[in-house]
Amino acid sequence: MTEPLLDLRAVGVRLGDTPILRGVDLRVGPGEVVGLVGANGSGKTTLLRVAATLLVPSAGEGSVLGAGLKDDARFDVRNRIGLIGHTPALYPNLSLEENTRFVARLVGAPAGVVGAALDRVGLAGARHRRAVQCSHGMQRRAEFARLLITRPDLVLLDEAHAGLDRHAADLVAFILQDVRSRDGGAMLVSHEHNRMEPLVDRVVELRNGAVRAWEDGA
Amino acid sequence: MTGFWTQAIEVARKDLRTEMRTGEVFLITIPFGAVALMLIPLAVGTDTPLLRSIGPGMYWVVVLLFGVMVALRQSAVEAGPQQDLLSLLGIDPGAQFTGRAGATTALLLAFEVILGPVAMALYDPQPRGWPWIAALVVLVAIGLGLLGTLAATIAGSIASSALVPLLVAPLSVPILLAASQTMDGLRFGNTILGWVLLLVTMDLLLAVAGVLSARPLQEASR
Amino acid sequence: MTRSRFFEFAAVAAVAAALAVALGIGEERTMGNLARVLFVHVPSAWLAYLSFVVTLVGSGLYLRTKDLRWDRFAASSAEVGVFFTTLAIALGMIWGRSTWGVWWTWDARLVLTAVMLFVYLGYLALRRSIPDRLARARRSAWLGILGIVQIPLVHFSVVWWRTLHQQATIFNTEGMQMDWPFRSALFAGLAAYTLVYVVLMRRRIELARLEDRFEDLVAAEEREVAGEAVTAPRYEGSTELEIEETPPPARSRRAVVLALAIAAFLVAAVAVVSSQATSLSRWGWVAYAYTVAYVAMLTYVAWLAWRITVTRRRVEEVS
Repeated sequence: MTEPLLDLRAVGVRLGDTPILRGVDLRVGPGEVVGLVGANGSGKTTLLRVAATLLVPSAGEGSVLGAGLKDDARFDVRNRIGLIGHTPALYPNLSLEENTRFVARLVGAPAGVVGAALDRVGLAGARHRRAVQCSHGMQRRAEFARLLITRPDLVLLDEAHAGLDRHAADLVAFILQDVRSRDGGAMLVSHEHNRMEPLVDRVVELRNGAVRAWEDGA
Repeated sequence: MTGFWTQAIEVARKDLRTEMRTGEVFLITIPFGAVALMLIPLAVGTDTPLLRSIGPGMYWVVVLLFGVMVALRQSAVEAGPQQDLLSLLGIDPGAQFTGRAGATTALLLAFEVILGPVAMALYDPQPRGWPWIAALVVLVAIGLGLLGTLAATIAGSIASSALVPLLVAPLSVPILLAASQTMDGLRFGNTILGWVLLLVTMDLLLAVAGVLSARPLQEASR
Repeated sequence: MTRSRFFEFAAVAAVAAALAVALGIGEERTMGNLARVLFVHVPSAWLAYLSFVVTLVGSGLYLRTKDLRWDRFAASSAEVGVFFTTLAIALGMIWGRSTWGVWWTWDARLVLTAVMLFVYLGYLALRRSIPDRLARARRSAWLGILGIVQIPLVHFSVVWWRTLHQQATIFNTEGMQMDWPFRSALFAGLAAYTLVYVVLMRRRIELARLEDRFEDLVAAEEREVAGEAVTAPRYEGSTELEIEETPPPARSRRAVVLALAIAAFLVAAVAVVSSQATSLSRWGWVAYAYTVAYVAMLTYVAWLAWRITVTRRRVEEVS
């Protein structure tokens, strides 16, 4: 039995007095892609942030990439986690190329990958445009370019299909395929079940702050 | 993985490039500071001996109060998603602090250097000891840059804009005293070494405090 | 010859002619050669006031017609006005230092001009901070009107404050003999610099039009998600990125040169202001003032041209 990439046991999160998650049990193994569905406000984003070690749970146990969720060791595995949230993590006044180059330099990637990654996601023609001047879909693509450079072992996609045209949606599939091929894992949130289902190994639903098996069409 | 200084320099470079695009400091804060320098004589009177004697002090007060706004410019505080990105790239929070404070210091230096001639023209203060004054300007920029960045980090991205000036102003008293006393000392031939050492000590202390507290503060903001 | 070329040639010829007249006439009786500084200072001050009136008119017309052309007109005039105001203050300071021995005096007109400069710097900063074009046009039109309307109030408050303090103004030119060579040189300067204003305005409006065009194109692209700049991603094949062997593009040296130029300017400014013993000959002061005026104008023209080129390239990239 190989060690799971993400292992959550009875994880609970409170924001102030409001419980967001209570008793979440979830495992993502190597080469596995898990889809996450749930109503608005059901805690999907919170769960992703717990998985990304950005939020320390108030109850329960767990580990990400072998590091405990509450240990300082989590700081050392962070650079193996890739999160794309629903607000783009781009600097609005820098061009797409500058944004991508910033990331590449920070992780010590060779200079040539920037152009290659932007070309891959179909943004080579728009690379000099500032992020603020780009549509949401284009900003999304620029974030995928970032994932192509950092190649994290655990990929977390919030609202994976929001604002994406058909090509860009194929890009999601491409990135998941890449993660799988490296025995990494992924968790993605999507409201577009038709697009999500072919991509994932299984789907779980967040309801009342806990993970349930998902019944299609329910 | 990249080293501490590479990360710090990249963060600083990103901040400065953003400033070049938005002009928050050069187009807004610096003119505002110049207006402030112009308003004071309108209120207190314009006879030359008076202005000459209050000139250096007014300059430093304006630098401190308006310099806080340089440390507070929007690009200096990372918004949520960008902060998450930096964390997940594994960037040392201390390096982030250093880079941010470095960019702020560079902008504060520009702020001081541009307002200098304005104050000279308006107040005609006739200062002495230019090499010491140059060193003083750099030390004040570093101290204020560190202090402002530290306060902005403590306040977090949400509360910062109104709160940070209140946090910074009382703590900047040593900087203000050291700066104005050094100018006085240069003018009247008193010893200034103590004040300069005080500034250097303060800069070092703030740098160490900023780097050490960066990780806990960053995690506390979530 | 295109019309803008015609205006540019006319402006250069007029400035050259005005310079010839300004340097050619005999010495003014009370001020001597120093009076020649006024032949650049007075025209730039006149243009400062003119451009702000133009901004007022443009802002009013925009609010009436809601035609963005008037917004561009008002904004362009404000930027050119900021340029001339700064120039007028700088030349006024040179004039004050050469005749009176001080760089700055709390003369009513000087204070008023400085206030105007800051009002319009605020106007330009406001424009930069509002991304939506219609909101920007409306809000800055209101500021353009309010900014000018309160100028007379500033003027009276400052004049009143000054008269209470009983101080002689430096810029009192009444003692001068306004004989006809002096007057003709002044009018030549006014005419020539007004032509320069027209040229600058044409360029600046062209820039504003290009910027609006760019925004239009980007907005159009927002509506139909995939613009031509966005191509289909290439997701077939290996997931490894093949690293391009092309060397990183040569770092643009322009920014470095620009930064160095600004730094050199600042150092020079500090040096000049700080050397209390500065004593140039009268011709030296005249040369100083004319150099400042011409260098400033050339720099501004070059900067405008550069911005136009960059914006045009961005427009071509998108369309």
